[in-house]
Amino acid sequence: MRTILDLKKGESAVVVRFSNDSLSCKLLTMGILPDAKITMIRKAPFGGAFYLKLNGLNVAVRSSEAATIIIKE
Amino acid sequence: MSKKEKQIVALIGNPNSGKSSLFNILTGLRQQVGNFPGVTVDKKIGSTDLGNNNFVDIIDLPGTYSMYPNSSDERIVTEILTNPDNPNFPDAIIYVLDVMNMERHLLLASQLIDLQIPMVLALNMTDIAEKEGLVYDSEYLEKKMGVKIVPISCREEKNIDILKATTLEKLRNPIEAKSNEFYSFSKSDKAVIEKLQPFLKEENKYRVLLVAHHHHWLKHISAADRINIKNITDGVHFESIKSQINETMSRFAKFTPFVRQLEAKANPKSESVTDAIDNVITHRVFGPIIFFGIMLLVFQVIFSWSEYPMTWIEDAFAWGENTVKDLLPDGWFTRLLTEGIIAGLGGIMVFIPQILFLFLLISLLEEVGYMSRAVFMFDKLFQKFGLNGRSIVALVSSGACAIPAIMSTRTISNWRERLITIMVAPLISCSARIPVYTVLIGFVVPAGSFMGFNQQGLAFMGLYLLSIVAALGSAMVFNIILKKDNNSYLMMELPIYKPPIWKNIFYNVKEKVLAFIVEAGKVIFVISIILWFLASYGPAAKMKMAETQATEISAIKGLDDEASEQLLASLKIENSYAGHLGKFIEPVIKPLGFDWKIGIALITSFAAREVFVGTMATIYSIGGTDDESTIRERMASEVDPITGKPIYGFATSLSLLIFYVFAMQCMSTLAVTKRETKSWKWPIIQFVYMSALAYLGSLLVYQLFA
Repeated sequence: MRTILDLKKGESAVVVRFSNDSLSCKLLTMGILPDAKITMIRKAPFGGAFYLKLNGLNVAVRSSEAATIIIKE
Repeated sequence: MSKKEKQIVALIGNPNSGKSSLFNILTGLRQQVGNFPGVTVDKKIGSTDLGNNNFVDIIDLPGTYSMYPNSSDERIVTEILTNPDNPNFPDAIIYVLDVMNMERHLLLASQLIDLQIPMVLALNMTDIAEKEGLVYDSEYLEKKMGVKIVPISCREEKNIDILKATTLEKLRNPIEAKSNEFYSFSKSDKAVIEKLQPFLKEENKYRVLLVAHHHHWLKHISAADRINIKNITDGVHFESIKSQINETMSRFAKFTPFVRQLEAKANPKSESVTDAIDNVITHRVFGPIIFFGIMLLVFQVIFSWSEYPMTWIEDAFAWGENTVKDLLPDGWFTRLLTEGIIAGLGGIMVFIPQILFLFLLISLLEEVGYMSRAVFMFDKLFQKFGLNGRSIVALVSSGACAIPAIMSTRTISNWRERLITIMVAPLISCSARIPVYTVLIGFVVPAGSFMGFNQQGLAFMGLYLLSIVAALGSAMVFNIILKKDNNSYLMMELPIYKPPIWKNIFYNVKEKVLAFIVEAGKVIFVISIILWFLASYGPAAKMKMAETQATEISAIKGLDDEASEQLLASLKIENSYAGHLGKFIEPVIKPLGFDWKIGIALITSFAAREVFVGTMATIYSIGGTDDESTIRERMASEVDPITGKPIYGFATSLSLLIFYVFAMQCMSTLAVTKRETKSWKWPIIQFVYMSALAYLGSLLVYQLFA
């Protein structure tokens, strides 16, 4: 099972589903939906967070949050 | 609704939708900040004329992504909209959405449609869309969503009058304005609504569903009702999270096809510019370096820009004091007015330039979108200390004043992280410590340069660094002590960079500065009057004795008028209530190298640190409270009557500096902590731990160097 954590800098992938229900509520309300294409832009300077890009939205998520976003193999 | 004087129009929208810009345009200088009853969320309200003298009250509600809120700020939206009896329940809603992010911003809009409150959709940022060559089909969207849509631009203030007229129309025909249901409820939603509706006696089905989701924290639901509602929802096996996910997904599925872009570029310029800037600004190496560079610049600018206005304010108050003294006959009232009230007011006002410039620069960084990048960069680092990336805004603001800083923690949704931020923010050296540092630093570090840098400037920076280390260290301790929870998250939008809208900055700065004047001002004001009383009066017999003594000494020494007056003043303060207090605590502060005179200053500084300089001036009886150099000269010549050594030697001065770095000497901050944490427990803990830190720090320093 691949998650956002498996993306290298500059790589993109399509969201399949989320592995944590309560976190997914928050991701969904921000417009991070299944079938959305997410691009990994970069890691935060001190690690722990990612700068992601999807459909006109730039968003910062923690590793723990990114780990719940499951992407297509 | 008839009991309300004016109709209420609420502005609702996602964060970064430009909602506040619209609020500023609509209300201008008529806006006020108040509080929603029972919660500490700022309520921004102002009246506007929708046309032909139809005045309504506009309320700016906190930006939120959906009716399922994350932070205490966002909760207020759900709180108000689920309770039609709430005094702030709107008669109509203006929903502001960013046309560049139409899809995502439609989620909350579709939820509001289901609440069936008359609503207008304001399609904002049409100026950017135009520049980017994005053509949207708002007529199609209007037909499909079933609500009136007005494309506007807050930046160019375009179509605002059309928006006003449309809103007025909606207010006049509220029944006609009611929209159809947007979301088709799932089976389990229907089940819970059916059971709960008779109990709540609420007509609107979506409102019933929201109460089912949120009953455990909604304030308008009584404790007894919460239990009943819980029984009902449990009875139908209602699963809140599943229902939320299902609702959000179905809403997106329904409205996404409505968003028809007739023409759009594949890669908008504003986005690619943002990407290019972020490549540098959030870079793993350059990012933090740039951040510290910006902070250094910000504080440099604050101090150099504030220097002159601060002198003007001081001069103006000194002039006012003298003028009043000249005009009014001498007496207790004149002295209260000049030495108590005017001096006290001056003590508050003198910090305004620094606070103003700091918030000007922070608002500017926020307005263009930089602050969210800083949050992103430092989140991990701050998490190690039990803080959140969002704490950075509060900690930077603390450099000016802890009061607005503590208020800014409301955006941190996790209570534990927010609490730790509140607890440690006052340790960051604020502008009130500057006059104290300025007076004392000269006794510790001689003037001169070290490797090309101003030595005293370096010492200044050292004190700031010490305060940052203390704040982070204390956060670490709180992080270990406080019970852990797992609801912390970052998940934050990084909006595209936009040129600032100066109007927004203006209102933002105005609000912050006013908050400082009101919150800190009222305390400092009252305290300075009390202090004046304590320092001017004492047990009658002792005061009398001081007077006789002064006359005798002046006669023996043949002092001139001025010198004998000074002598009288210092003898009086020694025998005043304040002097007695100082002597009373002397045994406790002796190990820190402080005498009773410093003791008086410490006592008075517990109200507000900046009072230190004024108190020193009073004790050493120098007219004019803020003339630092004369106070310094007078303090420098002060010698210990027993040893004959200067009182303000290296050890004592350093010890005193350390004390002021750590000590909680600000009643206003404690008052704000009390308000934000809704308990006495946290301000008391804050006071105790900071005072202990100060005492131990000073003790260590004095015993080492004495």
